[in-house]
Amino acid sequence: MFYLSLMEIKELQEESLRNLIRSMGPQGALAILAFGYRAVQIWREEFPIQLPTKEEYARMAEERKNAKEE
Amino acid sequence: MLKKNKVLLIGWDAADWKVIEPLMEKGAMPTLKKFLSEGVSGNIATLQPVLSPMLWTSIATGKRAWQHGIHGFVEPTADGTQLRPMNGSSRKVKAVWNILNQNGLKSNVVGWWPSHPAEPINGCMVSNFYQKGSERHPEDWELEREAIHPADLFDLLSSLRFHTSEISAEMLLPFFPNLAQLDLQKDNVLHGVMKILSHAASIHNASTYLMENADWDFMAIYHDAIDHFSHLAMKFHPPKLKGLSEEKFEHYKNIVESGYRFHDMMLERCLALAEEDTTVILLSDHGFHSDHLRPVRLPNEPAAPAHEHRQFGIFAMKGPSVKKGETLFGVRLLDITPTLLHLYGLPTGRDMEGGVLIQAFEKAEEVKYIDSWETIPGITGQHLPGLEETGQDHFEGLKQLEELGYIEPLEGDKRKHIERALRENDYNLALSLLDAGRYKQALPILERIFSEDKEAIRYIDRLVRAYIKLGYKRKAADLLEGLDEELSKSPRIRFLTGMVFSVAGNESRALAEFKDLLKIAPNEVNILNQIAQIYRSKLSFEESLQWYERVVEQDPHNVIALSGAGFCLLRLHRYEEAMDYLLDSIGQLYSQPSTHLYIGEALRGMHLWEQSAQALELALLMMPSNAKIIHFLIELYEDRLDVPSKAIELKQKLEELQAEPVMVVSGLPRSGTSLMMQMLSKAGLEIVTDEKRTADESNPKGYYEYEAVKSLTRNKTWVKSAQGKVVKIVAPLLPQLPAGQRYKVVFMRRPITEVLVSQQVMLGKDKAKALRDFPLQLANVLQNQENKALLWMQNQPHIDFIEIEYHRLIEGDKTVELELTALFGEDTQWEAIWDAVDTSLYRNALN
Repeated sequence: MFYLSLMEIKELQEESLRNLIRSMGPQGALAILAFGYRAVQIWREEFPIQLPTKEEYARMAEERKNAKEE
Repeated sequence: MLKKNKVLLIGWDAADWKVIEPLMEKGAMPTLKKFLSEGVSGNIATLQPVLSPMLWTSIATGKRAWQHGIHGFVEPTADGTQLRPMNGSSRKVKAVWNILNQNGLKSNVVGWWPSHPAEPINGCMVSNFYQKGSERHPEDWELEREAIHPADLFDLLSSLRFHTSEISAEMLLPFFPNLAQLDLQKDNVLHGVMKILSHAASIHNASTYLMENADWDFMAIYHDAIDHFSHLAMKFHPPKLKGLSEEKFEHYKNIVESGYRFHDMMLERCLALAEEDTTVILLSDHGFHSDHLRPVRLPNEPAAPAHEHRQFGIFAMKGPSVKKGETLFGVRLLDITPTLLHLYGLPTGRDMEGGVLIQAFEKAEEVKYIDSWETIPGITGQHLPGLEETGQDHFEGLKQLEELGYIEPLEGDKRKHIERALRENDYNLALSLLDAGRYKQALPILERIFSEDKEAIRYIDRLVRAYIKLGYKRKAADLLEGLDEELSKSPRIRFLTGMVFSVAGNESRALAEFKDLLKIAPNEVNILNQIAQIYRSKLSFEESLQWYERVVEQDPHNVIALSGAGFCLLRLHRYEEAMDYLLDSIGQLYSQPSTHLYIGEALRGMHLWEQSAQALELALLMMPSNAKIIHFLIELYEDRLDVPSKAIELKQKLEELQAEPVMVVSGLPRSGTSLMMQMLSKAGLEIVTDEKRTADESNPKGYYEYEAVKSLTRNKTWVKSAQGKVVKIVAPLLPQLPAGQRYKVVFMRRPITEVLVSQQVMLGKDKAKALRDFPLQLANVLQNQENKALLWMQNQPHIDFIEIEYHRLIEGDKTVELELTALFGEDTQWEAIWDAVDTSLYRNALN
């Protein structure tokens, strides 16, 4: 399941690629990365992510650093 | 001529068949499996030191590190105030994309290490800085302008980078099936995978964009992710290592496998985007230990993670003119550029050590040669000399190298870090020279860095080995005896002590030392090989064979043991068995001249005369001065194969080889050649001079010239009479020296500006005027003459040479004596050379 292949359809046009990505849902994430920039661009539109704030980001980095030192 | 189709070159840093094969077997890498069935594949032998920026530059240039100038991971900035990751602009030679550029072909290059700042080639270049820094907050994730060429692609390619925070849980599940049990905030292994995966995705996005949208004849893509996944998680890869907790093993055991599987998926996409008749080459720069040979602990030294690297990487190639389903033997990193050039119908350079992989092609087309691509003018797309950086922050790039353990933590005194980095790069340069068999050139570097840090075991290790190779047993022993007691007890120093005992003929002490070391490390292959070697030198071939077989049990790919076992069997007249081992050994590493000689001998023992001659001819090609091979061949051609003409030719060669070498002092006029002649004369060497040119104000101690040298182009007959003597020959005339004679050359170097001023003064100008009217064009011509002479010498098997800087003579630098010893031998009183130096004559220094 994790290793779905998108390459069976060699010349995917934008709409069919978009439909395929929608139908695969998040489970197809690694296959989307492997397909390259076109799938990633569509995936970013279809499944937008909530980015952490700068403060949250810094806190997480600090926690990881502490965990490493431990 | 081969059909000139497109070529796609994909680099997977550290990819290893030992990991790939089980994955292909269980159907986890279907794309690569199909790829292999459609083309050729095999091991690729790496170079020393096994450090990626040096290796990938060798792959792209066909040159070793001592030639291409990339000597490590970091270098000082142009102003010398801080360190930066190694820049592509520090490369001193053309990369394959530069050669293609000057031949009107378009290249896209993505992520090559090192390739920053992007070169202005006819095509696109995305530098190795493109994906870096993805762990910063997205708003702070800036991309340097210099990372992309051409500039109009900057915004688009910048937007295609994939940020670490975009990695979703679903993307991570294949790597961490127990993801729910991990602490997503704190788990550093998890975060490491996220970062590596995002970097790989960025490179893949840029690659797929360029493959679809930019014209190209050559496309090169470099991924460092397999190397990074392996350094991060090979210790968790099955089979479980002793001492690893069950919990960690369960959490992280899938990382390496998933990394490889992801690469197989990216490969599938790249192949789908390439046109049907594209030739595709997939390779790694080295392998990675994944079995019981995984090091349990890494030494505390810079670049320590390189100890996890294995000598053999992967090579696979498919395309319309490539054979199908065959295994290739003896592929080397240095063969890639010649093979790429051949695929475009271009000649390979004689200054490239590797060769075209002819055996990979259906039809063996003639390989074309030129002396060097470096001297062929054209628009290459290289940076113009003197490119300076624009004050960027190198933190991200350095931080990553630090995290990977390739450089020391960058805290504290900046100046010390720069000094250490320069020493590290010099050490790497010395390793590259040692790997090329250039021990004499490596020696002064190793002696210097050892004098700067006398406790670094690896410096001691290499220096002792270099002394041993050069036959300086006393020096090796003195060095080890001078070490402090604590250091002498370390297993590595004890191992070296054993080696020195062994070469000094004290075999019983050597054996005692090695066998004692085996108590600490019973399966250490290097110790086992040394013991086998001692029994071999005592002609106890049965005993030696047993020890070599113990190595092969531990490491079936160990080329030293395979060749050693083959040699023992050869001496035991068990020729067929010997052939099995010997072929296995060169199957792993082709460039083993002695092993080819043993194969020739084994075939001779089997009365396969013709095949024996073929193997010996190959060995002779690799060791052109080896009299033993020539004797074998003469015997074969005279007595077995009835080819008297070849026997006569070889007898002539033998005569030439047995003659003494001609010693030459060379360099640009006024670079200190006369001084060196005087010095060699003081040391007692016989000088060839007719004294026609007498001493004058410019050379008060005489010129030491020989009139006939000037007409060397027309008359070479006198050269033979100079055997065993020293003659002065200016640099531009060196290529006129006749072949069929060995030469030992001392090449004098002096800053071109000083040379020119000195020449101008000699022609009657005063120094101030010479400096004021400095002839820049002439300086370029002289620099060119010097470069050409050095390049020419590098490619002449019958010439040994050293370079000596004039300043060192004036300063009385005693290491000059060592270099002269390395070139000419120990039989001369080298300390007498200093009687010739009169510093008052050093008048044209510029400061």
